[in-house]
Amino acid sequence: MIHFLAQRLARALFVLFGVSVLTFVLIDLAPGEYFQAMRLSPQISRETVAALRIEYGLERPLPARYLRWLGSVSRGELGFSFAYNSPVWPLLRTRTGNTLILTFSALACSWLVAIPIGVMVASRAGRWQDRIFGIGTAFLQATPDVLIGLGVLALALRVRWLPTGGMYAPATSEIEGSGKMKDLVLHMVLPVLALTAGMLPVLVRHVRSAMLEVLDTPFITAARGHGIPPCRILFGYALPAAANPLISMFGLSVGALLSGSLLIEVIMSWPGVGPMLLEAILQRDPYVVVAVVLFSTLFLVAGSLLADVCLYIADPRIRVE
Amino acid sequence: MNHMYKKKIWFAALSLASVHVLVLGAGFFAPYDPAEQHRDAPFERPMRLHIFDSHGRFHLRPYVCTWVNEGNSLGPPRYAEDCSHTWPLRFLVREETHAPRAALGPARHLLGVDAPGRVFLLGTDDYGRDQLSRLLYGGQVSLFAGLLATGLSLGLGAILGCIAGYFGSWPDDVIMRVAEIFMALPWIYLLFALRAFLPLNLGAGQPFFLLISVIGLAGWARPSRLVRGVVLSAKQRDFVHAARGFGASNVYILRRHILPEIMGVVLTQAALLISQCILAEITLSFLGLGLGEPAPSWGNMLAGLQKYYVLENCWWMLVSGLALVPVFLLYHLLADALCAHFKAPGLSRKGRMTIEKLQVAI
Amino acid sequence: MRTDLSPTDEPQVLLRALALCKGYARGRTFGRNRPSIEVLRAVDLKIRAGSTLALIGPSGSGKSTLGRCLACLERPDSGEILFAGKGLVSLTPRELIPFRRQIQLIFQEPAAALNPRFTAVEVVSEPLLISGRGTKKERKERAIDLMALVGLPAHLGDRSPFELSGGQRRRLVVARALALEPKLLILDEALAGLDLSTRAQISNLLLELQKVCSLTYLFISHDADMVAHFADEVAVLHEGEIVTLGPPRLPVCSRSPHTDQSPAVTAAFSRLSGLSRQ
Repeated sequence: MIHFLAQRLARALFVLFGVSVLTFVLIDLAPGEYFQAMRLSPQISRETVAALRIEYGLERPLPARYLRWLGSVSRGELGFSFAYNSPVWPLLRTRTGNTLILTFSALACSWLVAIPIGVMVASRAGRWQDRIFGIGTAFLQATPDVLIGLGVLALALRVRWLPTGGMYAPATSEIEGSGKMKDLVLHMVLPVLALTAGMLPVLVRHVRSAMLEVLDTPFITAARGHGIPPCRILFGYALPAAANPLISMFGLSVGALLSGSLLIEVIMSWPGVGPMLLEAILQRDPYVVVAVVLFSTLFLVAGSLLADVCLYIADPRIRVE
Repeated sequence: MNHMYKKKIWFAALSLASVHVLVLGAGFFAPYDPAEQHRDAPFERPMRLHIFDSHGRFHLRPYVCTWVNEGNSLGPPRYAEDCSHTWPLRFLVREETHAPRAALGPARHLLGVDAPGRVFLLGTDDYGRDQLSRLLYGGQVSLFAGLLATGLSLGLGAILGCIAGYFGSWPDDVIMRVAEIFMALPWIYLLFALRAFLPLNLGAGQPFFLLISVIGLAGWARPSRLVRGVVLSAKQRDFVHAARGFGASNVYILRRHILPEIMGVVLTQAALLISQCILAEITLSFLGLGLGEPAPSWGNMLAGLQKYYVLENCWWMLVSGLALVPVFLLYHLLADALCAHFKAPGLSRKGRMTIEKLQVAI
Repeated sequence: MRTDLSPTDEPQVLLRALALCKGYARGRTFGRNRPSIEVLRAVDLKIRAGSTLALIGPSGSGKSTLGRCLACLERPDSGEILFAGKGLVSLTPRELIPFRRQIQLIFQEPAAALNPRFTAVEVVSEPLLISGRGTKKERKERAIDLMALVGLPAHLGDRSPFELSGGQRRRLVVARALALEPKLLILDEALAGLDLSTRAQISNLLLELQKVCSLTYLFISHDADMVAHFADEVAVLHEGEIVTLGPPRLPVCSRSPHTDQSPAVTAAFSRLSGLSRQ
């Protein structure tokens, strides 16, 4: 177990390092930089711009800048944002938290909805429930995330039951405790709904196919023959046997949700890392971009690592290999 | 069973081909130039086509009425139909001389009305540009961006996968490590990182190809992994050993024995990857990182909807997003049918799960 | 074991293996090779031209590995292979090509050894295509001749290997192997998995072909009974080493039997001696 974990961790670290190098090089080689707008302004002298560039270390060659950035990472600052004139980490901290709240809720929500639907549809394979859900999921899968997000928002604007943007109502500083929590949940409904709707078709499809494979096996037939009630068979016998591909799917779904959440955050003005990344790209704020990309990778890698560990625990065959 | 899949494949392929032909012929099918602005008619609703007039008489040639903006110039536009003057729909109309691309485009359009009447079958946007025309021209960008980017991804992925799988040792290690790094990033973040590499403002024309290369580069890793797997297993087959025993060169073996094996994987992936690449272009354009104004793309046509007013009142602006649904449905149908078609001769359970995993748009 | 290592090769010896060793690494952990499994340990063999040497042994003894090494599909870790007096191990792949054509390996599983996308004629003419002999028409004619030689009617030529029976597929594999007129055929479990009548047919075919085309056979099998009436000499492979080598008639054992010799080897050996007395 330790060996397995150590191997996976080492791999994960290598990947993170590789991603940081890749992103750093890409962003650094990008044309245009933060101070370009300043250079065009007649009120700021060239010397000032040059001095600023030297102060921020933009004059140094690429490897030196990368090493400097690594040093900043080890100090916990994660580089420096030119636009906000502050180290990146404090800016990122709250934003990352907000994104994680959204992503985890959507992850839980989509799996909690997908599993019962997938199991139900698999148990009635070929019948009308299967067909209806099949058509429904096909349409949902064919709808781009942008449209889902905009559609959900449009519906909310018509109905006016739920807040349609942001994370908290503007006057939250006056509400404390449970009121604040309630406000947060209300604001979360729309983004989580949009994210879940985007993930659901794929998850249902996978649960369905995994369950269908298991339901064909002799031991399920034997269980039926023993007279065990069908509900118990489905959830107690078949689902655990089908867990293997679903656990790997779980790891992949984290990545899909991180991608999806970026778009939904921008559409619904959720203060997560998505809008921050977009802003940083448009403003050419390189260290923010690198930090955000690295964080998203970190969560994806952590998600797959978690899935790997779960698989290791759940499936004895992997331990033997 | 194979017949069912063949029918599905043909149906999906033909439908998609007709959609592509339709958008390629935007010059003919679209009534207006996509950049042509009608400043006096911003956010005009889609015009109703009348066959029966107010007296109940049947007209063979459908007509549209004039729509008048009754709101004041400061507030939001409100349109009311004024049927005192009607404009019958004309087919195969000649190009109007004041349109910008008169010299280049086809001489006739499928439909139009006599000047100064206007026909906006899908409404207009905030600059008064006809949405139907923009939809057709935008389709050229979005759909073909998907096709070309997929070609790049698959080409690069297949070549690298073949090299990694066939030659093994250090090329395999290097290529697979780099692929792992590319796959470790969530898809959109990788897209953004690559996009940040390019200049901020992309006009139309050559930057279109830059955009395609960004999207294509983002997607090479997964195909290369899959192709490598197929090549590895094909390489172990005894008939490859036999061919080597006869003195076959690597090129011969790759061409004659290994390439046919990867075609199945490549084709199935193509159908899935195309819809992913279209989605990538839409997302980038929607967020302002794709093709810039005034070039239409189905993504930047949706960008106007980020304002609440537009989202609430101008439902016709969603048309480019809605147009994507049948396109994606067809591509998914094609991908499923191709999967089933190639699965038929005993693909292993692991192979099937791998293909299913492909269908997650990560 | 006869350790006849005289430097002058007898003219009748077609293939000689000297002290072949081969091991497989068990994957890599961060670049360091894990301890390898030794499959062949100092194997010595001699095959006379025109004769049949049978190589028997229990599963996992390394027979297929030895076959592949002798067919030049894999390189041994150490040792030498002399084919008609020429050393093969130190040659570059390019220089090896003409020798490889003279030694052909017939694989264990014919279905795996035939590309299902090819037709039967394409399969048989592939070696001719690779070595660049003749025009397309000539290759096709030669392929049909070869198929006739192994007893396959010409009308099967356009079929895919999957449409043929097991016995027909084996014949096809033999036909392909004969395309380049080899001198040595290494038959890896060529008669395994066949019913008795087909097995008899194929073994008769092989004996006939040996006379007609003056072939030398190395016959690898795990079943001693099968090779008994076939072979001129028998070598028994046990855990990567040749433990006995001799004609099937005489129970020759020039090395004192190992105390830990497996029951399978002992049984095989005794069966061979028993058979020779019948």
